[in-house]
Amino acid sequence: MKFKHLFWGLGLFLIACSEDDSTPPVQVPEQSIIIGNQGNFMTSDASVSIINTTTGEETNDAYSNANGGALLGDILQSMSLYNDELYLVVNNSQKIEVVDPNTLVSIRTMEGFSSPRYIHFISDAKAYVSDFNSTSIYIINPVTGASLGSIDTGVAIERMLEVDGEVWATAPSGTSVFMIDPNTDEILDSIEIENGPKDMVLDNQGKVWVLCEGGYDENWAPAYDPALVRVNPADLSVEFTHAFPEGTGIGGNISATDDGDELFILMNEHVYKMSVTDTDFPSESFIETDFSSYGFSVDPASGEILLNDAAGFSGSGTTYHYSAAGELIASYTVGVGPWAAIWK
Amino acid sequence: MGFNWIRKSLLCTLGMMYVVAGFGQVDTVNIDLVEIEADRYEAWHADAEVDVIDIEKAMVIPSTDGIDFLRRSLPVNLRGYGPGASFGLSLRGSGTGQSQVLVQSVPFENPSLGSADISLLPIGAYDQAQLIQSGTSSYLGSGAIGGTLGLSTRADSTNGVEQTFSVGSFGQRGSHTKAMIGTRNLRSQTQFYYRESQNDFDRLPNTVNAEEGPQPDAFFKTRGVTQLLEFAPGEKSRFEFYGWYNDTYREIPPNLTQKSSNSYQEDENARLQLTYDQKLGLYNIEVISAWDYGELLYTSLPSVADTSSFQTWHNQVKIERGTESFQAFLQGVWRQSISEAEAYDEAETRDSPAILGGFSWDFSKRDQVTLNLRQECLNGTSLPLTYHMAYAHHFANISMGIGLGKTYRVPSLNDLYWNPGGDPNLKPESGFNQDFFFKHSFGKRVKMEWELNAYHRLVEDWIQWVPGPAYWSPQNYKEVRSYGAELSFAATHGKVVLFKHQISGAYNRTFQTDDDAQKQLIYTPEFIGVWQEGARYGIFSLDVIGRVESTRFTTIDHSRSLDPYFNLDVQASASKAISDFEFTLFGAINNALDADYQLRASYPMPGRWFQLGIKIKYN
Repeated sequence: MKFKHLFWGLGLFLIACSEDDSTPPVQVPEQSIIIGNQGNFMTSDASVSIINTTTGEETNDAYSNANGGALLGDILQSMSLYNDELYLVVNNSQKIEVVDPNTLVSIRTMEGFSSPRYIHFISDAKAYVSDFNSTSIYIINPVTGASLGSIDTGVAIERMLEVDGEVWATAPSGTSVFMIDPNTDEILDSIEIENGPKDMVLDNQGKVWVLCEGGYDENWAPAYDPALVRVNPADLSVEFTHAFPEGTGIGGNISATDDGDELFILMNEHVYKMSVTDTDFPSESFIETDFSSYGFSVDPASGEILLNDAAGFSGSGTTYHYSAAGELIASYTVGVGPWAAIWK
Repeated sequence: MGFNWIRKSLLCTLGMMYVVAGFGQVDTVNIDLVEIEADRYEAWHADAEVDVIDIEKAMVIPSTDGIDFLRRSLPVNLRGYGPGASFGLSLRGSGTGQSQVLVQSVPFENPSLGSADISLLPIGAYDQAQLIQSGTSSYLGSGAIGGTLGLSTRADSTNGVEQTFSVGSFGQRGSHTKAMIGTRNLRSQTQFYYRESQNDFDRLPNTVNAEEGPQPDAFFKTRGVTQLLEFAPGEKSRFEFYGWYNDTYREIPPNLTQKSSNSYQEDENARLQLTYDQKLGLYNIEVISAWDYGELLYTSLPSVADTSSFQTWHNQVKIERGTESFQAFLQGVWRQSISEAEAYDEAETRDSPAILGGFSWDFSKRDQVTLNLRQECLNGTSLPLTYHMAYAHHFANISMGIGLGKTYRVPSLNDLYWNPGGDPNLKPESGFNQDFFFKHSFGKRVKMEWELNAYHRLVEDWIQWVPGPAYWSPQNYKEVRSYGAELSFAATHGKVVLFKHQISGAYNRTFQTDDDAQKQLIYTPEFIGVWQEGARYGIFSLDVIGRVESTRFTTIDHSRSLDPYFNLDVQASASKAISDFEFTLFGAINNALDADYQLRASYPMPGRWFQLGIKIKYN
C-alpha cells in the first residue's frame, strides 16, 4: 500500500510540475518592440527579437522558440501588422510567414513568390506584394495566400504607400514612382524623379516625401548621390528636392510621426529631423552615431527612434533605442542584421 | 555552350592516336618502357611530408567523383554545400583560394575565382594524388599558402580496357571507360566518364508547415574525356600529350527554408598540354606548354544569367640536376590568363612570369637541407620574393625536420571586381610560415608508422569572404594567425587476412590577431579526423571509414554554427580473374549511421545511401 501511495504521490507531483501545454513558449509583452533581423544571405538565420520596453530585456530567436525550433528563413525583409496578424516577408525563402503578433506562433505560410520585399494591404481580401526578382507586383489574398493576379510595372518595385486612394510604388532600380488604382489594379500614372526612389512617407499636408537612395553604376560603384524629394500628388509636381552632397553614400530610410508633422531621415551615421513645412534640409543631424545604421524605425506614436548596428553582419547586431528628444535610452543585443521593427 | 570544337578536336586527336598506336602495336601486353614518374614534390622540402595516394588502389568504390573520395581519404576541409556542388579545397584553415591544385604539374585554377573547383576534376581518372599541407609548397604557385594537391596520370604499361558501371541512391548513375593501348615507345590512354544524380534525397525543411520530402531541383550531371599520349623515342626522352574536356551541369538546390530553386550552373572546361622530358647526363629538362579553357554560366531565373570565361596559357621550362646527394632545379614560367566576366569592364589579363629554383642537399647520410625561391611578376610589376628553407635529420627509422618560409598571394579577379561585392582596393596577402615534422616507423610483424606535422603561420591582409545581407563580399583581415598539426598513424599486419588500420587527424586554429577572443574563422573546423579500417582476404576487401568534423561557425561572432558530425561509410569489393578478364563487384553503405549534418548552413547532406557497381578489366 505504501508503494501505491508513493506512486500516486509521485504522479501528482509530476503532473503539478509539468508545463502547461496551453501556455505558448513566447509571449510578446504589451509594451514591446518586435525586431526583425534579416540574417545573412543564404544562411537562413533570419530571426525575430522582442524587446520588453518595460523591463529592458531582449528575447532573441523568438520566432524559432515560438515554433518548436523552426527556422524563419533567409533574409527577413519586412514586417507588417494587419488585422491582428503579423506578416513576415522572408525575401530569399520566397515566402510570407503569418504569425500571431502576441505569441509569434505561425498561423500560415504564403508561398509562390520569387523574392518578396514588402506587403501592402488594400483590403482584408487583397494585398500587393513587391518582389525584387519580378517586374510585376503580385496581387494576393492575404488570408488564403491565393494569387489574384499581378500588375506589370516593367521594373522591380520596392515600397508601396496609400496616397489619396491610390497606391504609390517606388522602383529603386530607376527613377520612377508609379501610381496604381487599387480597385482596377491598373497603373494610372508615373513620375520620374531622382535616382533610386526607395522609401516614402505621406505628411499631414498630403504631400509625398520620397527618399531616393542614389545608386550604383553598372559596375556597382556608387555613382549617384541620394536625394530627398517632395511630390504634390495633386499634379505630380516636384516641390522640393534636396540633393545630398557627393560622398554621402547610399541613402537610407525615411519615416514620419503619427501626425505627419515631422520627418526623420536616416542617412548612414546621421538621423535628420525636419518639419514638413521646412523649406531647407537641416544642416545638422538630430542624432549622430559612430556606426552606419542599418535601417531605422520611428515609433509613430511617441517619436522614439531605433537605430540598428548590423556590425558588418558578423553575428549578433545591436539595436539602439533613442527618446523622442534624441537621447540614447538603451541598447539591446539582437539577431543578425536587425532591420525592421514593430512598435506595440 | 558553343565550344564544340574542343570536344571535336579531342575526339579527332583520340581517333588518330588509336590509328597510330594500332599500326605500331606489337604483340605484347607487358611493355617495358622508360620509367616516368610524376613530379615528386617531397624532394624539394625537407620539413613537410607529402601524402601520396595511389588513387586506383585507394579507391574501393571506383568513381570519377573525387569529393567523397578525398573526404574519406584525407583530413582536409572541402567546402561545398553538398552532393553535386562546386567544392574548394581548404588546407590548414586556409580559404579555398589559398590552396593550390596542380594537374599534370600545371596549376588548375579559374583565374576569376583564384581557386580550383575540384568537383570538376575526374579524380578517379588520375593515378596519383599528392597532398602537401604546408605553405612550403608555395614555390609551386602563389596560391599555395595552405598547401597543394597535385593530381597526375601516366599511361599504363599494359594494354587493355576497363569499364566501370555504378548505380546508387538518389538516381546516381556512372560510367567510366579506360582504354590503354600502345607499343614499346608509344602509349595511349583514353578515358570517358559520365555521372549523373538527381540528388533527391529526403530532407526535412526546418520550417513550420513543411513536410519531409525529396530535395528538389538538385540534378547534377558531368561528362568528359581525357586523352593521354606518351611517346618515348629513346630511353632518355619522352613526349606527352594530355587533353581533357569536361562538361558539367548542376542545379543549385534550394536551402532548407526554400521550397524550390531556379538556379543552375554550367561549366565547360578543357586542357590541352604538351610535355617534353629529356635526360642529358646529370640533367633532366622538362618543357611544358598547356592551355586551359573554362566557361561558367550561372543562371538564376528569371533575371540573372552571368557568363564568365577564361583562357590560360602556361609555359614552363624546368632544368633539374641530380646526383645522389645534391639535386637542384631551375624553372622559368610564363603564364597568361585572360578572363571575361560581366562584372569586369573589359577582359582582364594577368601576365605572371616567374622564375623559381631550389636545391636539396644531403650534406651527410642523415642530414638534408632544402631551399626554394620563387620570384613572380604580375603585369610587369615585380612581386615580393617568396622562399622556403628547411632542414631534416634522419635516424634509422625516425625522420624529423623544420623549416620556414614566406608566402605572398594577390587577390583574385573576383576578389577585386566581382559584382556585387568585389573590392578593387583589396590588398595582397603576405605571410610567414614555420613547419615541423616527425615521422617514426617501427615493427616487423606489425608494420606501424606515425607522423606528426605541425605549423605556425601569420598572414597579413588575409582575404576573407564574409556573408552580408544581400551577398558575400571579401575583406582584408589585418593579420590572421594559424597554427595546428596533423597527426597520422598507420599499421598493417596479417598474412591470410591483411589488416590495415589508419587514423589521421588535423587540428587547425585560425583567427584574427586583433581579436581578443581569438574566434575561429567561419567555416573552418578546428578538428577533422579520418579513421580507416581495412581487411583483405583473398578476393574480398572490406573497408570501414569514419570521418569527424568539429563545429564550424557560420557567423564571425560565433553566435551561429553547424554541429559537429560523424560519418561512417562501409565499402566492400570482390575481384575475380577469369581468363583475360578481371571482374570486380563493389558496393557501399555510405553514412551508415544516418547522421544528420550539414557542410553549408541550411543545406542538408544525404542520410544513409547506397552504391553498387561492377568493374570489368580486360588485359
